[in-house]
Amino acid sequence: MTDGHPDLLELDAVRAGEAAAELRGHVERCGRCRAELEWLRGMALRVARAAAPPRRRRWVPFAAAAAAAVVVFGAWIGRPGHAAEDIDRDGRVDILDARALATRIGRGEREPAWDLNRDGSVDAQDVERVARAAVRTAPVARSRQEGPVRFVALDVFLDSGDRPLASWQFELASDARIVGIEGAKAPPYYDPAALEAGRIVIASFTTDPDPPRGRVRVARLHLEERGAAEHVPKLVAAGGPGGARIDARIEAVRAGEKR
Amino acid sequence: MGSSDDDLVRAARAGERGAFEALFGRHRGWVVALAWRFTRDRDEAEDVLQETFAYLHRKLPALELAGGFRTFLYPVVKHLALARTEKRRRERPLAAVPEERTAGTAEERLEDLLGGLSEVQQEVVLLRFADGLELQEIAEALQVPLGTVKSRLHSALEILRRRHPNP
Repeated sequence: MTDGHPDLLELDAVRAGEAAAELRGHVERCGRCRAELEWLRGMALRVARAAAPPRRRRWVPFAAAAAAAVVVFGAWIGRPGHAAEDIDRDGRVDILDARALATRIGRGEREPAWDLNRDGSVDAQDVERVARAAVRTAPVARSRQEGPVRFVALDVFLDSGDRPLASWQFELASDARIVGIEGAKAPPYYDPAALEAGRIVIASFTTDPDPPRGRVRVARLHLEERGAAEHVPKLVAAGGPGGARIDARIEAVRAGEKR
Repeated sequence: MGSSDDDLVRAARAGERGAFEALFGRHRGWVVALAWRFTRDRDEAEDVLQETFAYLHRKLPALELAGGFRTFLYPVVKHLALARTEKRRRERPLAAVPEERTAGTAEERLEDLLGGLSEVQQEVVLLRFADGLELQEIAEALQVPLGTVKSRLHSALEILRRRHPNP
């Protein structure tokens, strides 16, 4: 109390419903304190509103995509014609598009069509948008497994032979629930909503002029398994530093298991 | 009456799958909102959400909550969000490309509102006003004495009242 009136901390306790009855009674009777309390309530509301994250972009619902006859089991959510994120205009959106955009921005190139989030600039956020579009995953049903829970780590390797590997994207069909994903260096891109699904798409790229060759561990997945879980990786795309598609062999190995 | 966080943590530790999912469902919105405050990126915040619960999953077998569940999660989310932001800045090829801020974004409004406060004062104000934590919970989340929280909040409110007399 100061000058017979509660200070701001005490008034904030009233605002939060934490104050004693005596203090609440004073505030109810005192015009000055009620005004202070109203100010606190208004400020708390403004801060809470300003601190709320923006709403997530609504993704194309699975049913709507199916109605458009572009979705088959495990297929990507497709769009007619060239999608805005299809930077290399090859008719599909994948991680090679994200890398292509990153490379072009790095060279100082700009095109209005690349301002995908329409914020007036072509920058890293637009690259992120392409990458997110590439890994967006339509939901599929995961078979329900019974039995005790096991936590395992699954390493995913790509072998591009003597060709440098600058970008990669794979999908994993799995009976397990994914509880964590690590990349080799930077965190890879994936659709968080797909962690609970039976299929997830994971991708990453580098603009390093000398990317790795040979057999590379590109990701480690932490899984919650029950019963005889099966994990089937499938390479979606791999690219070299020039942006060309390359072949690579993919395999998934349980951590600690030798191949 | 729903189960408490404590109950759910115990049940999840005992292998009850639904308990972990209930914890996830109960706190996911808060974790995303908190992570967003540090990353200012919705997608990054979603990734932090996954990493936070993956961390929780790993810690679960030995986890005993000494305080509230959110006070336990707060430093985890903060660390993961800041680490992720820093890692992206260093490792992403476009880190050098400046991200332009758009007029009228929530970030600017928050900066306008809290601009006159120090970082530690902002943190306390956000935990109090945006997250609705009690002062003792804030002290536990920040791992500072209760008196420090009171002092920071009081001085922050004095500054806010001077800067924004008519909210």
